[in-house]
Amino acid sequence: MIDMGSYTYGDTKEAIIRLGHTVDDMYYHFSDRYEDDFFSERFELQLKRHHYDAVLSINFFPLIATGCHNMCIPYISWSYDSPLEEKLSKYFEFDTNRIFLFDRKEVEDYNRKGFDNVWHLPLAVNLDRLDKLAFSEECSEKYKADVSFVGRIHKSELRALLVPADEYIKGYVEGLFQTQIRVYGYNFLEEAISDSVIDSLNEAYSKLGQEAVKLNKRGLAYAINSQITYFERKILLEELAQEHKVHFYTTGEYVLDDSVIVHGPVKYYTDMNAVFRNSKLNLCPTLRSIASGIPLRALDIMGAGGVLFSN
Amino acid sequence: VLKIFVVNYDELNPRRSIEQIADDIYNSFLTADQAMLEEMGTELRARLPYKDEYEIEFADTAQSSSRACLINNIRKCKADLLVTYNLAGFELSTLMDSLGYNLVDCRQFHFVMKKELLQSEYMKKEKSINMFFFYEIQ
Repeated sequence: MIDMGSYTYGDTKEAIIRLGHTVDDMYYHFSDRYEDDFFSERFELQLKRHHYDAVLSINFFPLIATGCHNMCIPYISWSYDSPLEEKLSKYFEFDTNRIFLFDRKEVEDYNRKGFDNVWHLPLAVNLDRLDKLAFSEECSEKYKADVSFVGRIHKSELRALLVPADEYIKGYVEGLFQTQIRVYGYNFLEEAISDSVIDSLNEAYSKLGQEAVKLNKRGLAYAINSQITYFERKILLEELAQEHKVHFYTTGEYVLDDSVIVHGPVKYYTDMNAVFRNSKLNLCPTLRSIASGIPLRALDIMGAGGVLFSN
Repeated sequence: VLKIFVVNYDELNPRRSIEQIADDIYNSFLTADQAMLEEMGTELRARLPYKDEYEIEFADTAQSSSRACLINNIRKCKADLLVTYNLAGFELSTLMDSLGYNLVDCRQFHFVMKKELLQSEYMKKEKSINMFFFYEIQ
């Protein structure tokens, strides 16, 4: 199993061992997931030195897929990220890949594109571990709260992407944003973005000499979805903070009213669960780009015995 | 130039000079077995023999202000090789409680001279394939 510092690695490994398999760990943190000579060399060396029936990672990594393909070893990946970065799909076609995603809609999209090695697998948490967690009185008091949110306020690249666009395109995208933000249960962005909008944006990038930047419908839809998520999370936190004490634990940057009580990050295996169990309500506003899956954070909250409030 | 970032001793350990550090790195390369040399990768293997081209920079874990952001500082300086002595800085952990150094994207040489450190909690944790340990128990 290859660990990249993923949230679910330890629990997944425990489950695999419980099923009777033996596991070797390999920890690595990529600076560039698409090009890394040291990793590629070291990884194939490891595969040559030992006999493995399969390689498993949390989330999909192109260099692992390539190494496994070169060495004819099945590569199993189970992702908690959604949607996957589009250029990853260039590496999907290897017959050694077994790709599991938690969003059924995303799986159907890949299946339609001809990838029959992509399957739906909902995410999971380790209840054996979580049920045994006990918190001291001091710890419970520390994390006691009305409302908590452990996560990030995602910053979207939408504004940057639209800088070279003309006023018509900017207005068109604003219209899409304003419409989609009011609609739950159906994401129509990719269908509503016309080819001419994409062509016009790409032409604007070319005029600026940015030949390397090429946007497609999925990319623009993702940027709009991220912008919607950003607004939803900000509004949710600030509005709730008018009536309740709202605690926000984050690793990311944020711009919020002072009414929201902001903390640094919490440890995944310990403090985060204390937050969930000792808060009256735990927020999990789902990323708009997740069409049909239950995100990991929602399962984290329920697994820890916390009360979940989500969309 | 092989850019080397050294997390120097805490208050319990004497400091090593730049020359001593360069010697430590060079000697560890000379004495590494074949398996370890292969694991270091082609690029590092090719550059380690040229001691004259080592460029060494220090960080001191004893300075409390820099201690908390040590991992970030190391990542920012984009060194080719990170060197520590007696697991200095290993107490820094990620949000998943793994070693902070696991997040550093360069090869790492860790020199361990104290026997008790081999039984420490840090050594039981999962370590990056970027890390290479050299034991010179005194």
